[in-house]
Amino acid sequence: MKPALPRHWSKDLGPHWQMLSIYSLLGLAVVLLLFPLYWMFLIATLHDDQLLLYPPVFLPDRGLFLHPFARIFVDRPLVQWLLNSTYVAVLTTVISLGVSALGGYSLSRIKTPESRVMGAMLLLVRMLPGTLLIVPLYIVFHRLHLIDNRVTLVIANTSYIIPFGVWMMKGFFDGIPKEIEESAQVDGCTIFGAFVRVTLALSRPGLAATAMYCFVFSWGELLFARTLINSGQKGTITAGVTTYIGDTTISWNDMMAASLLACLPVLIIFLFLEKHLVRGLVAGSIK
Amino acid sequence: MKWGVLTLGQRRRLFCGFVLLPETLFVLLVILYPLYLTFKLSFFEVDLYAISKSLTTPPTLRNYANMLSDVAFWHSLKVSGLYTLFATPLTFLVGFGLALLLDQPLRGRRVFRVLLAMPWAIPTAVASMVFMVIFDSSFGVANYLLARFHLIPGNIDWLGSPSTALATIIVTTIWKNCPFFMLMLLAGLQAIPAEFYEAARVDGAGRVRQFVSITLPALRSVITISLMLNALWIFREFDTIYVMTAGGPNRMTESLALSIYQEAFKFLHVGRASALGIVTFVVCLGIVLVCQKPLRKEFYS
Repeated sequence: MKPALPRHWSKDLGPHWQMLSIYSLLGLAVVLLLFPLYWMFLIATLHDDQLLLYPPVFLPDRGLFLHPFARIFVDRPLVQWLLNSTYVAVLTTVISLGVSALGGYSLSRIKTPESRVMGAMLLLVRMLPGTLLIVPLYIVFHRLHLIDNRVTLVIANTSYIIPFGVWMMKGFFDGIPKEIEESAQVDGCTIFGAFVRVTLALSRPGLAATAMYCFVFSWGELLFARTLINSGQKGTITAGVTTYIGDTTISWNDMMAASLLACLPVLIIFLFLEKHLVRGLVAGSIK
Repeated sequence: MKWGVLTLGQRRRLFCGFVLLPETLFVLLVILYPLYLTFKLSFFEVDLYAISKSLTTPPTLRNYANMLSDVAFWHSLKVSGLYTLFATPLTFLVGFGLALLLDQPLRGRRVFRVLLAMPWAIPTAVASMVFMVIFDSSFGVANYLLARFHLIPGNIDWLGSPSTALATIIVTTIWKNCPFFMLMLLAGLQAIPAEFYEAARVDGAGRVRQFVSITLPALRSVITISLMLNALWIFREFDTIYVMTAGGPNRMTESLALSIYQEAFKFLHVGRASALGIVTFVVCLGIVLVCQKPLRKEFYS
């Protein structure tokens, strides 16, 4: 005998079907969106003779093959690239975060015509394409003899991030009543002290969101990294892995292993800070 | 004047002005000055190796004249236009759909959200390389799966044939960009008070009715802003095209962004690249002006 269905199933079939279809749609979306990441991982761990099989191999059924991960370090200066990327991304994040927090605070607290002009300017700047800025930036840095210097990359990335960062931080500060910091000032805090201890402390989720945005952007940035840095040793990992394209001596598993390595650090940071991003966007973009 | 003599209000204002300095410096030096330089250089015929010397030739409109009479320019404008027109609404729809799904009262919503947002963190260049492997003409899994389900007759050279290269780039763009719009729209959805929906249910409004009368109006400014940002990003997208096709096959995917890069760093025509940059800027300005109203509200409210 079949077990009887719980009674509310038959009564309440509508919502159940609805929930079921929502879950299956979400499941489908997860499969589709994560497939490329799975594929990168799979190819990176396939044996050399499994790469060019047709139909392709869908599961690492002969175990994970880790030679590619050893080979790629011999072939190209990956460690150096990773270090360069870390240097650029961390420095960019620190500087951009500082400038964005200060600028965002100012735009959030004073509503004078000048600050409106600044706000409009930022909006204008946000739509400048990187490809538009790259030529003059190259010229400026060339004149300053700063081509092929990692600091150049930090400055270029920061200039690109600041408009968005300021905008995001301003949204956060708008949500913090200025009475809170004013009462701290009356209680004997200096203005700067109140800013750091009250306002910044209250907007930690916003700082986390902005920091993650800065890090993800500067880690993945390609245009500046390719043009402002010429020598192979000083490049970032993102620019580095693109050197595999068109290189016929490189097998797919090596290429995907290097790609995997290039996105692991940023994925890990993403997994830790993701929850702040949504909150940051709520504050920064919705009013 | 001493700090101590100032009233608290004056000191606050001074502090606010002072902390704006670093940002102002950055905007002036690294953004507005380069923009001015682009504008200036677009009137000179200079090449990249001569840029450290001062400009001796008189300014000329020749860069613009050459550009406007060049078939390749109109072609790249068309490519950028097509790319933006197709990729923007599609990315937006996927992102919106995902946001609506995630806005439901679900178990494990946070896990779903993290998983679906992951492509955002992947560097565009890396994503493009993975898609190149997936869409490879002979050993790619895309060809295998599509042929298996009889959706295509035989193997397609996705990135190598003029009719499919841009479409493949668009697919990659959707994958990479939809999570950001999902998160932005999800943030918008979660800001809508639940009482609105309850009131509508009491009045007997169905799901579709609720969506049209509550969700859409409440999201109007978020939708406009995210569409605009999306359009701007895609219009100037460089990484995906540069990695996947470098403008090929036969310049079929050479967008404006790519021709700026090629003119400047391959053919070393800085003047022409600058003229193209100015055109890009004007187009982007146009996109922003269309969306001016919600933007203002958003920034000055």
